Amino acid sequence: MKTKKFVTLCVLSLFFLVGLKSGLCQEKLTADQIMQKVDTRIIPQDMTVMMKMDLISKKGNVRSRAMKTHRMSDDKQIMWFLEPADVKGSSFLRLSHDDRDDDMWLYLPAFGKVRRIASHAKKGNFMGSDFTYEDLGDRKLKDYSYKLLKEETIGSKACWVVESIPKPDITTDYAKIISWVWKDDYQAVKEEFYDKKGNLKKVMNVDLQRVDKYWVPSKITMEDLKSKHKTALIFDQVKVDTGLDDDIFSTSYMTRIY
Amino acid sequence: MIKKTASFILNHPKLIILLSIVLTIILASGIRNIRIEEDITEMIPKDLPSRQILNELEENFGGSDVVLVTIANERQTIFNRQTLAKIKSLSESIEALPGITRITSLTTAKLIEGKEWGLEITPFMEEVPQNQDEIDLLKQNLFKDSTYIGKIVSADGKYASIIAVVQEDADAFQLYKEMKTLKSKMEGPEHIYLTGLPVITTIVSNSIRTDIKRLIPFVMLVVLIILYLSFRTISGMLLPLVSVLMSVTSMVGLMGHLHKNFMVINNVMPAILIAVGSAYGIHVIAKYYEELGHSGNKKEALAATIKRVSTPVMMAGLTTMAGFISLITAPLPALVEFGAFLAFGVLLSLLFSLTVIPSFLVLLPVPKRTTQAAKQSLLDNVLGKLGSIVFRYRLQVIAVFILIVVVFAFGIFKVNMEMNPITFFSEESELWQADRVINQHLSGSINMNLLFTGDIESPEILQQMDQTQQFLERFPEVGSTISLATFVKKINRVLHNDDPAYEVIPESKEAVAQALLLYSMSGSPTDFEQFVDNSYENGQIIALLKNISTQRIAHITKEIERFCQEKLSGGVPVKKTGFSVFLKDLARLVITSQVMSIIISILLVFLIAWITYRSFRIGILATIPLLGAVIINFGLMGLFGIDLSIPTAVISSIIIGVGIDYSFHFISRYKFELDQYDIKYPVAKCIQTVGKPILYNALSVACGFLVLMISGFLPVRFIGFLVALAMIVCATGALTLLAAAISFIKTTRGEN
Repeated sequence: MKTKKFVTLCVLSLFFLVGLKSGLCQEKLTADQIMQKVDTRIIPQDMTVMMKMDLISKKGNVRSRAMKTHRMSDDKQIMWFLEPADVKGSSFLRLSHDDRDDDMWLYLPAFGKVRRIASHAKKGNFMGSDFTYEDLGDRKLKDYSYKLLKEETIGSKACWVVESIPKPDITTDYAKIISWVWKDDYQAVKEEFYDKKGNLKKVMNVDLQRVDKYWVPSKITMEDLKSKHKTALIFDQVKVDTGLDDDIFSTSYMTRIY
Repeated sequence: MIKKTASFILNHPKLIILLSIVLTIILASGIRNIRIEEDITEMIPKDLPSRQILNELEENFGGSDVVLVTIANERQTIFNRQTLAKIKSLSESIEALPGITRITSLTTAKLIEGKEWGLEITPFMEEVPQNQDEIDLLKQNLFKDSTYIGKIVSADGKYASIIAVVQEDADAFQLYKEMKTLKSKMEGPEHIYLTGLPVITTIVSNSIRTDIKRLIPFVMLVVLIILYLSFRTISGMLLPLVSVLMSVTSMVGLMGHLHKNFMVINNVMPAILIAVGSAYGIHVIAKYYEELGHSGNKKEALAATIKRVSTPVMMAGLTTMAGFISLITAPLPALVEFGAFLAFGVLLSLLFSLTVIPSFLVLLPVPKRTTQAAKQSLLDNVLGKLGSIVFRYRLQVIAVFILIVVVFAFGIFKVNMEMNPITFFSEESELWQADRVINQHLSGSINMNLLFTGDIESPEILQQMDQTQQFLERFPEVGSTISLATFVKKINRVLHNDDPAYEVIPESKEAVAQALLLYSMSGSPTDFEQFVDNSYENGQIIALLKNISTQRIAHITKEIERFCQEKLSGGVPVKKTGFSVFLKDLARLVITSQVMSIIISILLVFLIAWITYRSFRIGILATIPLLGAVIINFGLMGLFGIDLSIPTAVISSIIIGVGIDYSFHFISRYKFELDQYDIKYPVAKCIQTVGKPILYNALSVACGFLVLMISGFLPVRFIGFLVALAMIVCATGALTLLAAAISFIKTTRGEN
């Protein structure tokens, strides 16, 4: 199985979300088969996207950041902050590895120098948002056992509702995750995350858009039901398979103002 | 007028009883609306600026109440696997409780660390350390960063705290219950202490409940005993009690109809009304039995009773009402309600005593009583002697009285103001134990919040916050301060190779924003929620103060206010709130309330006396024993270290309103003696005749108040003790000081 220890900024979730346009196999699939299909659906080689991150407080106040991001295959990503103006020119690079913690660098123009920052893998929050890297798809197929709960319609789309329970030896925030997966394209469009006490902790909703032959998210929201805090990731001007140069995913590229 | 009313009552007893029962039922039906006020901040007037700022604060930053859970391992410090595992498990359990917004603990607070290769921002203790090396590293990390020393770990390493922020709409009761369960599950060998406003609130409201259940039956019992001793008849025992219970249920019912909640001082209102109001019934019954002795005819005796007793009973009731009404001027809602509703209760019990009791007496047969032979008792002898002594040495009596008052007056300067609800409880209580630990080893439990408005990310405002924090930390009582500026400085230092010289606010706005961006890369979205709102327009400094006296807190708060106004560059308006500011404001309000209510009640009582006796001088004289009693009361408070607090602020109103009765008693009798007989020593005669009823009355009211000493609240116990004592002082004052002073009036009048 292909490892998916990869975190993309614009779309870690792409992994799950960009699907194989496989035939309409409405046959009786097992939960394992469904999740395997989700796991192996096709995703773009590279992607360039303008991403907006809205942090929404309990009272509904919004704090926004805008970034231009590139990602390549499933383990390299770089982004430049565009807004707010005070952080413009700051940049972030993340390289994922199968066998060790990810490498992350941050460049802050006001302080000069590119600095490495320590990552604590899955449990960390993705850029101070309500998403953890785990939520955004940094999950391995073999780490969970699956159960098909029911079938349900979301919007006009028929979905499987699959429960993922982490195997005992893996590090995770959750006791279980319930995913709603489109039957026809193997895209997860909604996920519920349950904490170790069995309470529903967070809910994620995904809106998808079609870019070339891929499904890519147009908006992902995550609400923390306890803190009532929300994050919305909004994806715009998505370009896929443009043949990005591998060189741009390097610390020397970070200091370039985009 | 009285005669007509009397004959109406005596001719329609059933109607009167029916009407009063209907009235009582209508009013009492409100009792089901009565709630125990759970929010202690409701004691603070809604229009107080600091309370409005608190609302604004909660609007911007969410609930500001915290529960502090402290884990103590005094023997070997918290740095061992077992205690650390307990801290982790307790942190997780508390965080998961409904009603908890977030927690700060070893498991959530983040270490910001510069490494040669870059930066690391991680919780101090994500997982429980597995070996001594990891434990040592944790210890080293914690004490390297001063931000959290005193907050989540004590400097000596023996205590660790979990600070749990509570949602505004959380069910404090449920939360406290769950925390108690957690505590009992996890305690041992480590101690676990719980405190914080939600905990205090729950304990206070539980105590209110217990108090109501305990005080009312006890006061009733005491009153019944007094009634039995006075009359030794069933009707004599029951009627005054029934009439006063009708007024108590009506009073509480009216509070319910008006949707007033029970706060710490309201819980003693029924007991006080029973103690004070039963006296009117006693008066009526005593007079009735006396008149029966004269005539033997029930109706005639009753008519005479009503005629004779109405005026004195109404005077006693009116003055008591005046005392309670004086509290209406108090700026504290709890005191206003206490005064207003008790005045209403007194009015009812006075009306019921004059109407319902005679109505019952008309219907009931004349009790068989062995008329006690008027034996010359020891007390009579003593009073007789007292009478002649007071008259002979009247100057000396006055001098001694003045001397006593002057001595006690010195105690007034030692009276301590205490507004912290924790002082409602004894020092052995669970709350105090927790508080002592937090005071001695951690930052403290009394918060002060300073709100800054503007561009919080701008270096200018952050610098002002920083200056303010530095000023605050100069006070030894300020345990810790924290704000966005704390983090910005910390990150700036780490970004400059951990050079302490860079632990300052960066000069450019970009640098600030980028420092915060760096933090947010590893932080969670709610990390700064309590320090700055999402728009970065409102920021706050949270300071923790040790639990010291309200007076010291008031002083520090004022100093800080002055600093913000005078020294802070840029003159940004800083709004202050938090528990410490409330304590300061409450202290001011209680003093104002106290002074106002003393002046107003004395004035009202004086006016009533002046009008009643149509003599300015007698009006003045009548109030003198009260002034003495009030001064002695405050003197005692100063000498015994009894705090002036919201509950104890009602004492002087009760003393003045009830204590005046003895002056009135004495003066009425004195005038009677003057008019009726041409006797040589009216004062001595008066002391001899009226002395006994005055002393009995004072003793029975005192006994009623002494019941308050079984309350769960210290201030309520003090009310019981001090009012009881003051009743005796007022009674003896009337029989000595007033008697001595009034004899001078006679002399001057005689000379004229």
